[in-house]
Amino acid sequence: MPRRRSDVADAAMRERCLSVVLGRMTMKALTAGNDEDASSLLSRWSYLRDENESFDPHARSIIYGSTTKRELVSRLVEYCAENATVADVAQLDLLAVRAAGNATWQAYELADEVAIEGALPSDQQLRKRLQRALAPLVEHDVYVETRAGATWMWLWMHGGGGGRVFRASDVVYAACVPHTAHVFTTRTSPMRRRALTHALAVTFGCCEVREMPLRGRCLRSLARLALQRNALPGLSHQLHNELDLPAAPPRGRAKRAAPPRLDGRAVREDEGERAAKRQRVDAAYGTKPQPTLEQVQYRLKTRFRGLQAAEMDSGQLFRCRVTFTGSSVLDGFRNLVSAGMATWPLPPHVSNLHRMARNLIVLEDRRDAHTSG
Amino acid sequence: MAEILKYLAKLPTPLTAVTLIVGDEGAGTLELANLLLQQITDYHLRVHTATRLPLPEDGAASRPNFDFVIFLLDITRMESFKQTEEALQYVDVAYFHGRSCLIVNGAKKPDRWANDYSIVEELANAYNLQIICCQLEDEEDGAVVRRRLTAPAI
Repeated sequence: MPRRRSDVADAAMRERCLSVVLGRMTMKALTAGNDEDASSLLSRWSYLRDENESFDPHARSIIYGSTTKRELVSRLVEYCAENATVADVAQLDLLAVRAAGNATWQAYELADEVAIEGALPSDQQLRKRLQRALAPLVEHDVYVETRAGATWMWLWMHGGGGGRVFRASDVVYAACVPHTAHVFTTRTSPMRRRALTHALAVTFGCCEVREMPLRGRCLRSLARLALQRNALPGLSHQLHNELDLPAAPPRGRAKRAAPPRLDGRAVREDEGERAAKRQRVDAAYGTKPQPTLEQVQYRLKTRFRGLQAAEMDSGQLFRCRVTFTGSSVLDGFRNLVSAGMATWPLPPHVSNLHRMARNLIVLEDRRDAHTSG
Repeated sequence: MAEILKYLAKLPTPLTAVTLIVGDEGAGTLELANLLLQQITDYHLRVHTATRLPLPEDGAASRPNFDFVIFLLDITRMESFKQTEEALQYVDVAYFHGRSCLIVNGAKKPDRWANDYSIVEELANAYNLQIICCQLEDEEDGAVVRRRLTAPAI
């Protein structure tokens, strides 16, 4: 029976979807481990598993029989594209995004403190709500799954007109954590962002979804920072490990060898002072690793306070931007204090950073109580 | 009044050389101490480290007499220079007659120097200190520094 044009177009679209998604994964991610190893992405893709949860032998032979990534991708696309649905491709894409851990997530707050109470609606219900909310705004495909303590959404918002041409930039990923009023999404175009925030507001029944000045690559850390915003100093340490989200995969710097230790035969004359400093730092930051923030920026809009020789009008504003970047800026601040390179006590806008739920801080002078003139 | 580090405030231990390394955190104190302790010597070598002078009062009773003081300065950090400058004021003049030296770490990265080398030279000349420039992370440099410091005559 000849295939209908729409079937052919659909098959071509699925092939392209799969090709783009597989093409973005590294060869290591595609082939790592064997089919029993959890690190192997393809082995966790349910499309390649049968009812008994065992890995498809033909897929296994493709993976181990291919020598280059191009060959592997083209053989897999040929094998899977005929029957794999958009939902299957979306599931694989989400697996890849979670494993790669290099997406930048933006935090949003559901206004009016609407919490995502108790159990979220089922994945199916959530998907239907999102589809209803997006329907008037943009053509879309939506996939929702619950994994690792969070609900993940894959939203492909494609342009109208004939044909659905898949582009990776048309996909937005979102995640929400139960019992919190925060949602995290990847970056997208302003038009898609407006549609997405409207859809999320309608889906979760709140009047507004507000963008927070908080973004980063480690979703677990962002969720923790958002949750402990304005927490009491002691309580913020208790929230560690409350959220069971996948940890960010170790970045290159985290794999560095442990720092050298002092030979046991040497004697530290200032051991007492070091112990006291360690206690102060632990009291302020806790003993566990800090949430991961890759960038923190301070924008100063203050009067210049510096050397007397500087030729600046004391009333003139000194605009300055200071950016700290690294694998974990909060851990870096703590290490600066431990290493004695930052004087204690730190200013509040540095020591309270883990409770501010932002990585852009604007510092301004206090307005005088009595203005002249 | 802060205690000055006095030479021969206590009796020295026979066949033992007690060295004090004064350098702030991150200057390379740990690396230098480990290097010195790797050297095989005919005498017993003990190494003490401190981040600043004067030394804390607790532990003064059990503290030995220091035979040699090494001031470790990281030329890529201004704080390290200031801390060394301050520490030099709490050392007895007897140490400046061949019983101390100044090690400048970070010497192989002039693009990262926080200070002009002439300022470091001025400081060393003011206290009659011999300067040893090195990059302690470099294995070769570390071996050279270790041999120079533990040789019978410096």
